[in-house]
Amino acid sequence: MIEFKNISKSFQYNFWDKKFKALDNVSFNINEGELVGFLGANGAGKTTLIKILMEFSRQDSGDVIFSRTMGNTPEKIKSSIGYLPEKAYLYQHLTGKEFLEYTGALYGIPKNELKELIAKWTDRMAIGYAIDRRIHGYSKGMQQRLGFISSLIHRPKVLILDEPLSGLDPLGRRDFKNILKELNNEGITIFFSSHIVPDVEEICNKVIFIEKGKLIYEGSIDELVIKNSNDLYSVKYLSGEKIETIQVNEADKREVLTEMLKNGLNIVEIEKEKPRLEEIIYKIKS
Amino acid sequence: MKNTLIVSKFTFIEVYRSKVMMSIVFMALALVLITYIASEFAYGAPVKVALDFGLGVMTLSNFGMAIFIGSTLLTKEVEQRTLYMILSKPISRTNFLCGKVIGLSSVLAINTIVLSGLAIGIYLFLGGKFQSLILWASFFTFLEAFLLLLFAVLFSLITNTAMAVIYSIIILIIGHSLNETSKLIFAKMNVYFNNAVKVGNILLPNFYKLNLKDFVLYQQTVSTDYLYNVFIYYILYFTALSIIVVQIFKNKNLD
Repeated sequence: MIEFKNISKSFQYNFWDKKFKALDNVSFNINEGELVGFLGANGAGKTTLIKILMEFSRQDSGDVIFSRTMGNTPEKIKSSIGYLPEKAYLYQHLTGKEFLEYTGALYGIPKNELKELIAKWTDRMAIGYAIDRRIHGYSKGMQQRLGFISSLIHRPKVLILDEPLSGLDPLGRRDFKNILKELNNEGITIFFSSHIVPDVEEICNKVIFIEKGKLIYEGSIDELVIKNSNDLYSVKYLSGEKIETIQVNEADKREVLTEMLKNGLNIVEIEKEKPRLEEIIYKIKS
Repeated sequence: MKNTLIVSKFTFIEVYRSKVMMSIVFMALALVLITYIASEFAYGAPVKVALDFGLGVMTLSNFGMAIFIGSTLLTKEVEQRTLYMILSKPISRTNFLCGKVIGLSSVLAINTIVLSGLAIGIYLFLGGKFQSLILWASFFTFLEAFLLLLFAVLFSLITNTAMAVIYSIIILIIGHSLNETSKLIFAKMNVYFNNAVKVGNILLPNFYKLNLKDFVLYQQTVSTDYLYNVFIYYILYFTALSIIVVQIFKNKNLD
C-alpha cells in the first residue's frame, strides 16, 4: 500500500555544522490491512520519516510510493490518509465542533453527514460534552482525542499516527488501543509510531524498528519473538495446594511430561517461554 | 477553490476571536479621542484636521495589523504545528496559503470599514461635506495594507518573525519615500543614486501612489484615469508578489 524506498535525510542546522543523518537508506512496506507499530527511541527518526510520508519535509534521496488503490492524484491520496501528528496542535480559538467541521469540510463530507459523524465520534471518544467549548479550555488528552477524530472522520484507508498514545491517561490509552484494533478489524490499515514497546506488542501484528535512522527490523512480531525464543517450556503443576513450575527443554519435553503423568501429577499449564518484545528490542539495540 | 474559502472562513473566525479584534475596538476609541482633541486644537480648519487624523489612525492601524499578523501568519502555524493538521487534508499548499491570506485580509477589511466609517462619521458630524474620494482613499489604504501583509508573509517565509517585521517596515518606508526621493536634486545629479532609485521604483512597491489622503484633504479631486492606472499597477504588482510567495511556500521544508 505504501512503500518507502531507500529514504535518506540529513539535517544541517548551520552551514559550518557537520551534517546529521536522521534517516539512512530506510526501506520497508506497509501492506493493506496491517496494524504496524513503528518503534524507535526518541530521536531515532520516526517523526522525520512520517513528515516525509506526509510531504511536509523532503527527503535527500529515495521515494515514497503509494499504491494505486489510494488514488492517482495528490489530493486523492491525501483523502485516503488520516494523519495525527505527535501531540494534536489545534486552533485554540475554535470550538471542538468548529474544528471538526473545518477538517470535515476539507474532505468534502456533506454537512448533514458530517453532523452525524461528529456526534458519533465525539460520543465514542467521550468528548461530546465539551464539543461546543473553545479548544483552549481542553486538556491535553481531550485535544488528542479531538485530533484523533479529525484524522478518522472521513474513514480513511490508512491511518498514520505519530505517537498517538503519548500524553494520555491509562483509560485514554486503553480506549485508543481498543479503537485502533476495531478500526483495523474493519479493514483500515494503521501505521503508528511509538517508543513504548508494550503498546506496540499489545495491538500490532507487524513491527518496524529503527535506531539512529537505520532500519533494524521489519516483520511480524510473532516471527521476531519466536526467532528470539529459547527452546524452554515452563510446566506448571499442582503440588498440594501450591502451583509449582519446572522448566524443560524441547528435547526432554515428551519424556518429562509422560513421567509426570505416570506419577499422577496434576499438570495445570504448559507454556513455551517467550521473551517480551521489549526484551528483544533491548537485545537488538545492545 | 472551495477548500481555499473553507480555510479563509475558519482563519477569519480564529482571528476574530483572538485579541486582534480587541485592537480594532481600542483603535476605534483612540481614533475618536485623537480626532476630537486634534479638531479642538485646530484653529481655522477643524473639520479637515479631524478627517486627516481619522484617516491617519485608520492607516496606521491597518499597517500595524498587516505587518504583525502577516509576519506571524505562517510561522505561528509551523511553530504550533497546526498547519500539519490542515495540510494533511486534501488541500494544496497554494490553496491553504491563499485561504489564510484571504481570511486575514477580511480582518483588514473590517478594520478599514469600522475605522474609516468612524472617521467619516466624525467628519460629517463636525460639518464636513461628503466626497466619494474619501471612500477611494479608504479603499486604497486597504489595498496598501493587503500588499504589506503579503510582504510580511514573504519575509516570514525566508527569515524569522522579528526580521520579517523589520523588513516589512523598511519596505513600507521605502515604498512611501522612493517617489519623492527621485525628485531630489541630489538624486538627479548622482548617476549611481539615480539608477538605484530607478531600480527601486521597478522592484519595490510604490505606496506613495496608493496614498490618496493628500488629494482628499487639499485638492479634493482626482482623475478617474489616475485611479484606474494606480489600481492596474497594484493588481500587477500584487499578482507578481503572490506568485513569488506561493512558489517559496510550495517548496519550503516544513521540518
